[in-house]
Amino acid sequence: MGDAAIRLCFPARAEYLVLPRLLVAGVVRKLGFSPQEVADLELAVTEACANAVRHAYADGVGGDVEVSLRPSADRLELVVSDAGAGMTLPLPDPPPAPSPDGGMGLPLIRAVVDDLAIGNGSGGCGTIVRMTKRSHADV
Amino acid sequence: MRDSAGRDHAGALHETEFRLEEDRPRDDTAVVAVFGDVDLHSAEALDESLVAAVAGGATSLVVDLSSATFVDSQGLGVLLRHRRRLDPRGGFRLVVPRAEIRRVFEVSSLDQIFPIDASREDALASLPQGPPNDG
Repeated sequence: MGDAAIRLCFPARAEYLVLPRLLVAGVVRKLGFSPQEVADLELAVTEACANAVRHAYADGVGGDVEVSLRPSADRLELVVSDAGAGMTLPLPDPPPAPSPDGGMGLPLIRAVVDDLAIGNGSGGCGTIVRMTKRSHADV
Repeated sequence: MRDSAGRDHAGALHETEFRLEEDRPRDDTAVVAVFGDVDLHSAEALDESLVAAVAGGATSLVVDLSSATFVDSQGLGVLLRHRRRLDPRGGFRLVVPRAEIRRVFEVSSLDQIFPIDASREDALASLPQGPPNDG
């Protein structure tokens, strides 16, 4: 598999969260990632996309979430972006402890990927979450 | 077509379809079995099911994730809320035999908070014992 990007664009609604999960799982299984690494990436992409679904767009306005995958032999670069309100940066460090009222998403992503960077889009509009996970499976 | 993990790609979308089944092995105990993906879309239905089980008289809950294909932070949040709300004389246990699902509890350190069993039988045996359900 080359290093060209694979893109998925979907409406920022919860019922579509299964789509980025199936896409990422399908791509990294073909790359030979281990079942645990596949599960980690399913979690990371879902949490990033769910943040966009929950926070990017005002109720009734709607918008899209874009997922971009750049696979190479031993890693996956994953970018989730929206064109919504944008996050307040910088994020608290250390992140808050797990809470039943939400806020667990970003700490979970941090725990399962090798690199995580969060920024705003051009002109401060929207949020861009960049993640990289390397595979340690024998490929 | 199945991959090395035995998952059926053709059936992947169907496999992730969320549904719940409730069983009452004892008057005071509800077992809620989760099938498919638990995420922002389905977590509310899980929440409602657990609320209904407690409203129906259950003081102990077992959430069986044996057939769950995915659990995200929304699902974890629902489970945490119900564990905290449950009568402390009862019990709250999870059944998580699959390593991929157990992983989310490990990376969130919630495996230190939730009692996790490998089978429904183990979970039921570990709950406070109430009267058997004749019905």
